[in-house]
Amino acid sequence: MDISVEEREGGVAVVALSGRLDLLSAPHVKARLSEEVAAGRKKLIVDLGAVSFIDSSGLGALIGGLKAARVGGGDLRIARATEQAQIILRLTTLDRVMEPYASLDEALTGC
Amino acid sequence: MAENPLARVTVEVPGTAEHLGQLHAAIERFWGEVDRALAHPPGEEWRLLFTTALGEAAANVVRHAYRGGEVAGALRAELLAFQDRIEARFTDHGVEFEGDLSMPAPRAAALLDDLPESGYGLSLIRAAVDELRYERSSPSGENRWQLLKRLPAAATPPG
Repeated sequence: MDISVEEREGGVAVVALSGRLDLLSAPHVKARLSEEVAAGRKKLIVDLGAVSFIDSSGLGALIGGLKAARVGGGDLRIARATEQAQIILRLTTLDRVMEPYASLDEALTGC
Repeated sequence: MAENPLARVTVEVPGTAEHLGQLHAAIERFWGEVDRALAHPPGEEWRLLFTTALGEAAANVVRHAYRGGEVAGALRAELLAFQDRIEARFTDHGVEFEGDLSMPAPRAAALLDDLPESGYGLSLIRAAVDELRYERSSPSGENRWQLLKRLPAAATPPG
Protein backbone atom coordinates (compact mmCIF):
# COMPACT_ATOMS: atom_id res chain seq x y z
CA MET A 1 0.00 0.00 0.00
CA ASP A 2 1.45 3.30 -1.08
CA ILE A 3 0.25 6.48 0.56
CA SER A 4 0.96 9.86 -0.99
CA VAL A 5 -0.30 13.11 0.45
CA GLU A 6 -0.77 16.35 -1.45
CA GLU A 7 -1.35 19.34 0.76
CA ARG A 8 -3.55 22.07 -0.63
CA GLU A 9 -4.77 25.46 0.52
CA GLY A 10 -7.19 25.85 3.32
CA GLY A 11 -6.01 22.90 5.38
CA VAL A 12 -6.99 20.38 2.73
CA ALA A 13 -4.96 17.22 2.16
CA VAL A 14 -5.57 14.81 -0.69
CA VAL A 15 -4.45 11.38 0.48
CA ALA A 16 -3.98 9.06 -2.49
CA LEU A 17 -3.84 5.34 -1.75
CA SER A 18 -2.53 2.68 -4.10
CA GLY A 19 -2.76 -1.09 -3.66
CA ARG A 20 -4.87 -3.15 -1.26
CA LEU A 21 -6.48 -1.39 1.70
CA ASP A 22 -6.80 -4.43 3.93
CA LEU A 23 -5.83 -6.08 7.19
CA LEU A 24 -2.14 -5.48 6.49
CA SER A 25 -2.21 -1.86 5.41
CA ALA A 26 -5.19 -0.54 7.40
CA PRO A 27 -3.22 0.38 10.56
CA HIS A 28 -0.71 2.40 8.52
CA VAL A 29 -3.44 4.24 6.66
CA LYS A 30 -5.33 5.02 9.84
CA ALA A 31 -2.13 6.28 11.48
CA ARG A 32 -1.30 8.48 8.50
CA LEU A 33 -4.78 9.99 8.42
CA SER A 34 -4.50 10.77 12.14
CA GLU A 35 -1.08 12.36 11.58
CA GLU A 36 -2.49 14.63 8.91
CA VAL A 37 -5.26 15.76 11.24
CA ALA A 38 -2.75 16.33 14.05
CA ALA A 39 -0.65 18.42 11.66
CA GLY A 40 -3.62 20.71 11.09
CA ARG A 41 -5.04 19.27 7.87
CA LYS A 42 -8.69 19.28 8.80
CA LYS A 43 -10.18 18.40 5.43
CA LEU A 44 -9.01 15.04 4.19
CA ILE A 45 -9.91 13.74 0.76
CA VAL A 46 -9.00 10.09 0.41
CA ASP A 47 -8.50 9.18 -3.24
CA LEU A 48 -9.39 5.50 -3.67
CA GLY A 49 -8.97 5.43 -7.44
CA ALA A 50 -5.91 3.15 -7.32
CA VAL A 51 -7.08 0.90 -4.50
CA SER A 52 -7.42 -2.59 -5.95
CA PHE A 53 -9.28 -4.10 -3.01
CA ILE A 54 -10.80 -2.98 0.31
CA ASP A 55 -11.81 -5.25 3.17
CA SER A 56 -13.57 -4.40 6.42
CA SER A 57 -10.25 -3.50 8.08
CA GLY A 58 -9.73 -0.96 5.35
CA LEU A 59 -13.19 0.45 5.98
CA GLY A 60 -12.34 0.63 9.66
CA ALA A 61 -9.26 2.73 8.86
CA LEU A 62 -11.39 5.15 6.86
CA ILE A 63 -13.96 5.36 9.67
CA GLY A 64 -11.13 5.95 12.14
CA GLY A 65 -9.80 8.72 9.95
CA LEU A 66 -13.26 10.25 9.68
CA LYS A 67 -13.64 10.27 13.45
CA ALA A 68 -10.22 11.85 13.92
CA ALA A 69 -11.02 14.52 11.35
CA ARG A 70 -14.38 15.34 12.94
CA VAL A 71 -12.90 15.52 16.44
CA GLY A 72 -10.43 17.99 14.98
CA GLY A 73 -13.29 20.09 13.67
CA GLY A 74 -12.84 18.91 10.09
CA ASP A 75 -14.09 16.19 7.78
CA LEU A 76 -13.00 13.27 5.62
CA ARG A 77 -14.42 12.44 2.22
CA ILE A 78 -13.69 9.56 -0.09
CA ALA A 79 -13.31 10.03 -3.82
CA ARG A 80 -13.10 7.79 -6.89
CA ALA A 81 -14.17 4.64 -5.10
CA THR A 82 -13.80 1.64 -7.42
CA GLU A 83 -16.72 -0.70 -8.08
CA GLN A 84 -15.44 -3.08 -5.40
CA ALA A 85 -15.13 -0.24 -2.87
CA GLN A 86 -18.66 0.89 -3.65
CA ILE A 87 -19.91 -2.67 -3.18
CA ILE A 88 -18.34 -3.05 0.25
CA LEU A 89 -19.58 0.38 1.32
CA ARG A 90 -23.08 -0.56 0.22
CA LEU A 91 -23.03 -4.01 1.86
CA THR A 92 -22.03 -2.49 5.20
CA THR A 93 -24.32 0.55 4.71
CA LEU A 94 -21.29 2.69 5.45
CA ASP A 95 -21.99 4.54 2.21
CA ARG A 96 -24.52 6.48 4.33
CA VAL A 97 -21.70 7.64 6.59
CA MET A 98 -19.08 8.16 3.90
CA GLU A 99 -20.67 9.13 0.64
CA PRO A 100 -18.35 8.14 -2.22
CA TYR A 101 -17.66 11.16 -4.43
CA ALA A 102 -17.15 10.29 -8.09
CA SER A 103 -14.24 12.67 -8.64
CA LEU A 104 -11.66 14.63 -6.69
CA ASP A 105 -13.23 17.88 -7.86
CA GLU A 106 -16.61 16.90 -6.48
CA ALA A 107 -15.05 15.83 -3.19
CA LEU A 108 -13.17 19.12 -2.95
CA THR A 109 -16.28 21.22 -3.57
CA GLY A 110 -17.38 22.95 -0.43
CA CYS A 111 -14.21 22.02 1.43
CA MET B 1 -18.30 -35.81 -3.78
CA ALA B 2 -19.70 -37.11 -7.08
CA GLU B 3 -19.84 -33.83 -8.91
CA ASN B 4 -16.71 -32.65 -10.71
CA PRO B 5 -15.99 -28.94 -10.79
CA LEU B 6 -15.68 -27.20 -14.15
CA ALA B 7 -12.82 -25.10 -12.81
CA ARG B 8 -10.66 -25.39 -9.73
CA VAL B 9 -7.81 -23.38 -8.26
CA THR B 10 -6.17 -24.39 -5.00
CA VAL B 11 -3.62 -22.38 -3.07
CA GLU B 12 -1.99 -22.74 0.30
CA VAL B 13 -0.35 -19.74 1.95
CA PRO B 14 0.95 -18.96 5.43
CA GLY B 15 -1.94 -17.58 7.45
CA THR B 16 -0.51 -14.09 7.85
CA ALA B 17 -1.63 -10.70 6.55
CA GLU B 18 1.54 -10.44 4.46
CA HIS B 19 0.44 -13.42 2.38
CA LEU B 20 -3.08 -12.28 1.56
CA GLY B 21 -1.68 -10.92 -1.71
CA GLN B 22 -0.92 -14.45 -2.86
CA LEU B 23 -4.49 -15.43 -2.18
CA HIS B 24 -5.75 -12.50 -4.25
CA ALA B 25 -3.49 -13.54 -7.12
CA ALA B 26 -5.00 -17.04 -6.94
CA ILE B 27 -8.50 -15.55 -6.96
CA GLU B 28 -7.69 -13.65 -10.16
CA ARG B 29 -6.35 -16.85 -11.74
CA PHE B 30 -9.57 -18.56 -10.75
CA TRP B 31 -11.73 -15.96 -12.51
CA GLY B 32 -9.60 -16.57 -15.60
CA GLU B 33 -10.36 -20.29 -15.34
CA VAL B 34 -14.06 -19.53 -14.84
CA ASP B 35 -14.04 -17.47 -18.07
CA ARG B 36 -12.62 -20.45 -19.93
CA ALA B 37 -14.80 -23.11 -18.33
CA LEU B 38 -18.29 -21.61 -18.08
CA ALA B 39 -20.59 -20.99 -21.02
CA HIS B 40 -22.01 -17.95 -19.20
CA PRO B 41 -19.44 -16.62 -16.75
CA PRO B 42 -20.82 -14.27 -14.09
CA GLY B 43 -20.44 -10.52 -14.57
CA GLU B 44 -18.11 -8.10 -12.82
CA GLU B 45 -20.36 -7.10 -9.93
CA TRP B 46 -21.12 -10.77 -9.11
CA ARG B 47 -17.40 -11.57 -9.05
CA LEU B 48 -16.55 -8.56 -6.93
CA LEU B 49 -19.16 -9.61 -4.37
CA PHE B 50 -17.63 -13.08 -4.19
CA THR B 51 -14.06 -11.74 -4.10
CA THR B 52 -15.01 -9.34 -1.32
CA ALA B 53 -16.42 -12.26 0.69
CA LEU B 54 -13.26 -14.31 0.06
CA GLY B 55 -11.00 -11.49 1.19
CA GLU B 56 -13.07 -11.08 4.33
CA ALA B 57 -13.04 -14.80 5.11
CA ALA B 58 -9.28 -14.95 4.66
CA ALA B 59 -8.77 -11.90 6.86
CA ASN B 60 -10.88 -13.59 9.53
CA VAL B 61 -8.59 -16.63 9.47
CA VAL B 62 -5.53 -14.42 9.87
CA ARG B 63 -7.09 -12.19 12.49
CA HIS B 64 -8.91 -14.76 14.60
CA ALA B 65 -7.83 -18.34 13.88
CA TYR B 66 -4.15 -17.41 13.84
CA ARG B 67 -4.61 -14.55 16.30
CA GLY B 68 -2.95 -12.02 14.01
CA GLY B 69 0.28 -13.99 13.91
CA GLU B 70 0.45 -15.33 17.47
CA VAL B 71 -0.40 -18.77 16.13
CA ALA B 72 1.44 -20.09 13.07
CA GLY B 73 -0.20 -22.11 10.36
CA ALA B 74 -1.35 -22.28 6.78
CA LEU B 75 -4.53 -21.19 5.05
CA ARG B 76 -5.65 -23.50 2.26
CA ALA B 77 -8.14 -22.08 -0.19
CA GLU B 78 -9.95 -24.20 -2.77
CA LEU B 79 -11.99 -22.28 -5.33
CA LEU B 80 -14.47 -24.33 -7.37
CA ALA B 81 -16.81 -23.52 -10.21
CA PHE B 82 -19.81 -25.74 -10.95
CA GLN B 83 -22.53 -25.20 -13.51
CA ASP B 84 -24.90 -23.59 -11.06
CA ARG B 85 -22.62 -22.14 -8.37
CA ILE B 86 -19.17 -21.06 -7.24
CA GLU B 87 -17.78 -22.39 -3.98
CA ALA B 88 -14.82 -21.58 -1.82
CA ARG B 89 -13.50 -23.92 0.84
CA PHE B 90 -11.04 -22.51 3.35
CA THR B 91 -9.16 -24.74 5.73
CA ASP B 92 -6.90 -23.67 8.58
CA HIS B 93 -5.44 -25.17 11.73
CA GLY B 94 -5.90 -22.22 14.01
CA VAL B 95 -8.08 -21.75 17.05
CA GLU B 96 -11.69 -22.81 16.88
CA PHE B 97 -14.26 -20.23 15.87
CA GLU B 98 -16.58 -19.73 18.78
CA GLY B 99 -18.63 -16.82 17.58
CA ASP B 100 -22.08 -16.70 16.14
CA LEU B 101 -22.33 -17.22 12.37
CA SER B 102 -25.50 -15.19 12.33
CA MET B 103 -23.92 -12.29 14.22
CA PRO B 104 -25.57 -9.14 12.88
CA ALA B 105 -23.72 -6.19 11.45
CA PRO B 106 -22.79 -3.42 13.84
CA ARG B 107 -25.70 -1.04 14.20
CA ALA B 108 -25.50 2.06 12.07
CA ALA B 109 -24.93 4.51 14.85
CA ALA B 110 -26.71 7.81 15.12
CA LEU B 111 -23.54 9.35 16.49
CA LEU B 112 -20.29 8.92 14.59
CA ASP B 113 -18.51 8.43 17.91
CA ASP B 114 -20.41 5.19 18.41
CA LEU B 115 -19.78 3.82 14.93
CA PRO B 116 -17.66 0.69 15.24
CA GLU B 117 -14.48 0.33 13.25
CA SER B 118 -14.60 -3.47 13.32
CA GLY B 119 -17.00 -6.39 13.51
CA TYR B 120 -18.39 -6.17 10.00
CA GLY B 121 -16.75 -9.33 8.69
CA LEU B 122 -19.33 -12.12 8.98
CA SER B 123 -22.34 -10.01 8.10
CA LEU B 124 -20.43 -8.74 5.09
CA ILE B 125 -19.80 -12.29 3.89
CA ARG B 126 -23.44 -13.24 4.43
CA ALA B 127 -24.60 -10.21 2.45
CA ALA B 128 -22.31 -11.07 -0.46
CA VAL B 129 -22.85 -14.84 -0.83
CA ASP B 130 -25.78 -17.25 -0.52
CA GLU B 131 -24.40 -19.73 1.99
CA LEU B 132 -21.74 -19.59 4.68
CA ARG B 133 -20.90 -22.70 6.66
CA TYR B 134 -18.37 -23.49 9.33
CA GLU B 135 -17.32 -26.77 10.88
CA ARG B 136 -14.58 -27.75 13.25
CA SER B 137 -12.92 -31.10 12.69
CA SER B 138 -11.81 -32.02 16.16
CA PRO B 139 -9.44 -34.92 15.55
CA SER B 140 -7.38 -32.92 13.07
CA GLY B 141 -7.95 -29.54 14.70
CA GLU B 142 -9.12 -28.06 11.41
CA ASN B 143 -11.44 -25.15 10.78
CA ARG B 144 -13.42 -25.50 7.58
CA TRP B 145 -15.27 -22.58 6.04
CA GLN B 146 -17.44 -22.94 2.99
CA LEU B 147 -18.78 -20.03 0.96
CA LEU B 148 -21.27 -20.66 -1.81
CA LYS B 149 -22.82 -18.27 -4.30
CA ARG B 150 -25.37 -19.44 -6.86
CA LEU B 151 -24.74 -18.33 -10.41
CA PRO B 152 -27.36 -16.22 -12.18
CA ALA B 153 -30.10 -18.26 -13.87
CA ALA B 154 -28.76 -17.61 -17.37
CA ALA B 155 -25.66 -19.64 -16.49
CA THR B 156 -27.64 -22.81 -15.95
CA PRO B 157 -28.39 -24.70 -19.16
CA PRO B 158 -32.03 -25.74 -19.64
CA GLY B 159 -33.03 -29.30 -18.77
